[in-house]
Amino acid sequence: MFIPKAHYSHLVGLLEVLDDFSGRVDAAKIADELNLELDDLLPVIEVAEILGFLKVESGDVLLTSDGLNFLSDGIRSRKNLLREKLLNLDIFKKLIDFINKKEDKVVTKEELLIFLAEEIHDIDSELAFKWIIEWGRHGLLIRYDSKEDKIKLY
Amino acid sequence: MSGEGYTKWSWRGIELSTEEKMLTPILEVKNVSKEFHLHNRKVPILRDVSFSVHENEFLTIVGPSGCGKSTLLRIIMGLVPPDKGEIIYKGERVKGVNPHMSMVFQSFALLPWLSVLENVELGLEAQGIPKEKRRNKALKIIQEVGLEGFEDAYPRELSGGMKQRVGLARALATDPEILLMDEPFSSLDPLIAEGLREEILKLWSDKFASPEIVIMVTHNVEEAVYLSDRVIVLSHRPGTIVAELYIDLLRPRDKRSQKLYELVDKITSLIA
Repeated sequence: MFIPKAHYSHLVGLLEVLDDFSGRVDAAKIADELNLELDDLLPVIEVAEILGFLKVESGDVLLTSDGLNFLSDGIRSRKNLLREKLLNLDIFKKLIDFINKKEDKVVTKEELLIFLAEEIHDIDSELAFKWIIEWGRHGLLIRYDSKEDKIKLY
Repeated sequence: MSGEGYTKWSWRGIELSTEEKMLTPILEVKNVSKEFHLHNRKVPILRDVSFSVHENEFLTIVGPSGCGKSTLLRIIMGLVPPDKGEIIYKGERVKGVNPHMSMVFQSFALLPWLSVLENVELGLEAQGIPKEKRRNKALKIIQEVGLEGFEDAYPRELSGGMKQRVGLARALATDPEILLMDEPFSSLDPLIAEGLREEILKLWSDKFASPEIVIMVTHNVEEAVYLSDRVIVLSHRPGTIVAELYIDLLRPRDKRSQKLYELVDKITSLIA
């Protein structure tokens, strides 16, 4: 099951760079221009593609209309589009269902780690936890109070 | 050194001629010099630096490492006193920290034991603003810089880009007239810096919001040309002004325009 494995700020940066290239450019050229390894860029491209903000076609990355809308939006309104996109991901659908089924609608970090260990197999649960919390916060889907060890719906 | 061919400023949707701008400086840096004392030796850092800053202007100071550009920013804010010269703000000589300014730091300068919300509230607390009012103000700024959802997060839970958003929110919370930014993108990876620059321009383009003026220090010439209305170039230490260039490019700017490349080359050759 897919989970985003790049920072939100990377996503914004990638879409801005793509816009600088009029919406279409070779992925290797972006890496070259920014002095990055292509391997560092691939997780960001993957997140942007799965969220529907860009398409990949024979080595080129292309900004989609949703990607362009995201860039045109104000910083606050970007959250709405992101939330809508994240809600399409199975991992967040399942997570929301998981939290909703709890009597008090609150889960602890340990409970979430166990949930992620069952759902995510390509990366360590601690790492998966970090990405899920980051994107869940960005998309206004979940709140996490690390002091109180409480994760709940936004 | 001149603004030849530069007649109109389209900054934040406000159009004034250069002449009109020059009549109303908000900030004047006058003959500022500074020395540091190192092992009983005097090291001159800045020598006789003078310039004015006008409303709705994005000014960037560039120069080689150690040329005193960050010290100059601290002198402007009043964190460090000049040895000679003075800082004039709206016609008045400034003594001590100027409450109409705030600073964004390269290293974010967040308190790790405070949440995002508490870090943003810090500046407001220092101003003696009541608790409920400062909470509301902090929450509003948090939304504006894209930190909504992260109110309860601690700095260790944030990426570099998000940490700098907190630094920015804390600086903007006090409604500064002048925002000072000391290498704000230098410790971010290039992709994150690309996005954050655009977000700062988005915030800045709102002519109804503070700040009116941004003064940034950077060693990145391309960044300076892309963001600024005017670039001041400092020499090697002790820093003196060797050039002042108006960036006569319409916004939104094309990072790949020939004119932008030419300006970058020109400034780079002045620094080398």
